[in-house]
Formats: sequence, C-alpha cells, structure tokens
Amino acid sequence: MPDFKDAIDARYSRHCRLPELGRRGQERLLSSRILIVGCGALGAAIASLAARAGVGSLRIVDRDFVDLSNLQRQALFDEDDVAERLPKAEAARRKLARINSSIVLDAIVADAGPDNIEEFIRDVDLVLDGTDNAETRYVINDACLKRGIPWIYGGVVGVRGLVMSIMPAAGPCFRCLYPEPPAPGNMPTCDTLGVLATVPSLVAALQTTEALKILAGATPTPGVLSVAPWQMQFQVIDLKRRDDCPACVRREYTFLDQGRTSRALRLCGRDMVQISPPEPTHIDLEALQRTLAAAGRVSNNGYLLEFMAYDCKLVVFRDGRVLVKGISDLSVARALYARYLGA
Amino acid sequence: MKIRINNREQELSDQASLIDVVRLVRSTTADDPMLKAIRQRTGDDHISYLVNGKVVAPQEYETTPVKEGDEVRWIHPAFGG
Repeated sequence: MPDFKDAIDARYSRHCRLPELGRRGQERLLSSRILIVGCGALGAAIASLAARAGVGSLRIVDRDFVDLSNLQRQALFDEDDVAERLPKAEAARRKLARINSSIVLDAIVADAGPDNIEEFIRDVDLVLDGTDNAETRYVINDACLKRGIPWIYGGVVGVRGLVMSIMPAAGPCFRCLYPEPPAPGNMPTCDTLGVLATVPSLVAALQTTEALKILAGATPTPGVLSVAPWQMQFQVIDLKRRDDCPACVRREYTFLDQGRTSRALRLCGRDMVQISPPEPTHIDLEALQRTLAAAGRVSNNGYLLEFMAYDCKLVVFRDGRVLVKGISDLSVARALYARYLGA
Repeated sequence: MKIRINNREQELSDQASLIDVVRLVRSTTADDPMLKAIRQRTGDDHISYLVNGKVVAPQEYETTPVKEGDEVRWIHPAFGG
C-alpha cells in the first residue's frame, strides 16, 4: 500500500489553494488537537470532515454502541458495525484511520461528564459538540470556560438546527443562550421527535467550518446560526452576553462542580437506562462473561459485553457503565444492575 | 408601536411587554408541526426569547417591557445530536 503520510501538498491541495487557508492554514490544522464529545449523527459527521480536512489529532469520546436506527443519518457507521455491536468511538476510529492514516486518533468509550471532562480537554485546542443532550453541553460549557478553550455548540431536532461558536474570553456562552437546563426528560430529542437525516450533516458541516476557522487563526462568526433546511431558512441571530451569566460573567462552574447528579440516567427516549459505577472502575469483561454465563446468554466483543436473561438485556462497558435495554424505570434498571453486577 | 419579531415588523400596543410577544408567537406557531409536537409532549414549547440580543428568562416575560424599534428574536430548542 502506498504511503500517504507525508503527501501534504497532494492530499490538501484544494485547501492550500484557498486564500482563506493556504498552506500555512493547513499546517496549522495539521498541528491542531480537537476533542469531539459524542459520536452520533453530529459527532460522526464532524469527525469525518475534520479527519479529511487534516486536523492533526482527534479525540473522540462516546458512551454508546452502533444501533440499526443510527444508520439513517450517522455517516461513519455501517451494518457490519451494528452486527459487531461496536462502540461508536471505536467504529469511528477504524473508519477514520482508513480515511486519513497521517493523523492521530484517540477513541474513548466513556460518558463525558463533570468527573472526566477536564481530563479529556486538558490538551486540546478546541472542543466540538456532538452530544445528544442538554446536560452534557452545560458541562462542556463550564469546562471550556474554566480552561479557556473555544467550543462549538451544535444542536438539532426535527427539521431544524442551531450552531454557535463559544469563545471563552469574549462570550457570550451557552448559558447566555440557555440560562437554565430543561427539567430532565422534558426536552424533545431526536428519538422522541425524529430528525431529518440531512439536518445533522448540515449542522456538523457548519460546526466544523467554524472549528477550521478558529484553528487556522481566523475569526469565528458571532451569534447563533439557525438553520431550517426544510423551509430553506437560514438566519444569523445576534446574541449578547447576559450581564448576570453565572458561567461566562461570574465564572461559577455549577455543572462542572456538582459532579455526577445521578448514577441512573434515561437515555434519550430510547427505552434504555444507563447506570454508572459509583467510582471510576475497570471491568474485566472476560471474567464477567464467565460469571454471567451461568445466568443467561453472554457475548463479548472486547469492547462491550452483552447479556440476555429472561428478564433483561444488559450491555456492560469496560468503564463499568451498564446500559439496561427495554427498561425506562430507573429503579427497575438499578435492581437489575445490582442483581447481575452486584453493586 | 412597531417592533420586529424574527425580522418581521409587528404592531403592538404601546404598553406591551414581552409576554404579549410570547402569546403572539404561540398563536402564530400553533400549527407548526414541530412546536406543536413539543407542546403536546412536554406542555411547553421551550422557545428562547431574545430582546435586542439578550435572552430573557421565562419568569421575566411579564416584567420585561418592549418598546418601539425593539428587535425580538425567538429560537426553537435544539438539544439533539
């Protein structure tokens, strides 16, 4: 196989020709490190664009595995990933490595939250939002403001999406747009309301464009961009910093400082509950497989273990998280977790 | 008085506050399929309202006056990915 590693001019010639970027801009991209939090429809499209564009180092954090319903819009995944039940971060890493072998890829199967986000962002130049929930975005906002790292919010639902670049020194920030989080379970999601397949791709392309601008040393576009491609409506909305913003004005990082609010979390209307271990842990999937084999059917692909018994279906990750499928009641999910994982 | 709501000029009474704008938006978006679905499922439309670029908290809608020439924008929620 030919070695593409040093072919900067050939691979990135279309970028190098652009007055907006040029070879110098491309070199800046190549020496940049980004974190993508969440690798669903937004995150996978961002990762693909950023890897092809030659962002030198990508860290991808995601808590989920590839499901058939993801293939309608999540660009990097295919039916083999569903059959293998690959974690999204790992499935993404494998595809991206084939797209661009000259960049550094770091796939982490974890639930980004207040207890680990600072570790994930410690050495990056910029954070891209590929999450599917409000809670994680408030945590990203706090962490990025605290560490002085720019981040690009992108959100979709139905046939609409929003994009906003958040520059920690200048503001406004995510909490200037959404001062308080919605009550848990009270916010429409793609799972409950649906999402048009093209909207995440569009929003991800705009987020990545903002990221490339910042990484190359250009100025991001201020305000919030609202897109509604079904109506073909695109608007930039002026957004000012709120004088009393707790995050970017008062520098109170409420969501980062509170730690994990709950160990059991309903995932996005998917009839699935995630239970997190009380302390950071590492599960020996092979040993667990032997233990659980007596109680039901177990399979293990090295990244996650799937267990089926008469009353439940559990997916166990190496970081100790468990997804309880087909259950929306938190206490039932906790009870099944206790029964089979003994915690 | 005249104000602009999402780039469209609207006539409101001189004593209007933001809550009047909110009511107007609710009535004009009553048939919007997505907002309708959100309202049905959650009892609220979770729209953010900005007056001259600043987001106003829902508890301040009634006490936030709007005046001639104000620019009010509303943004639908987008927390999916």
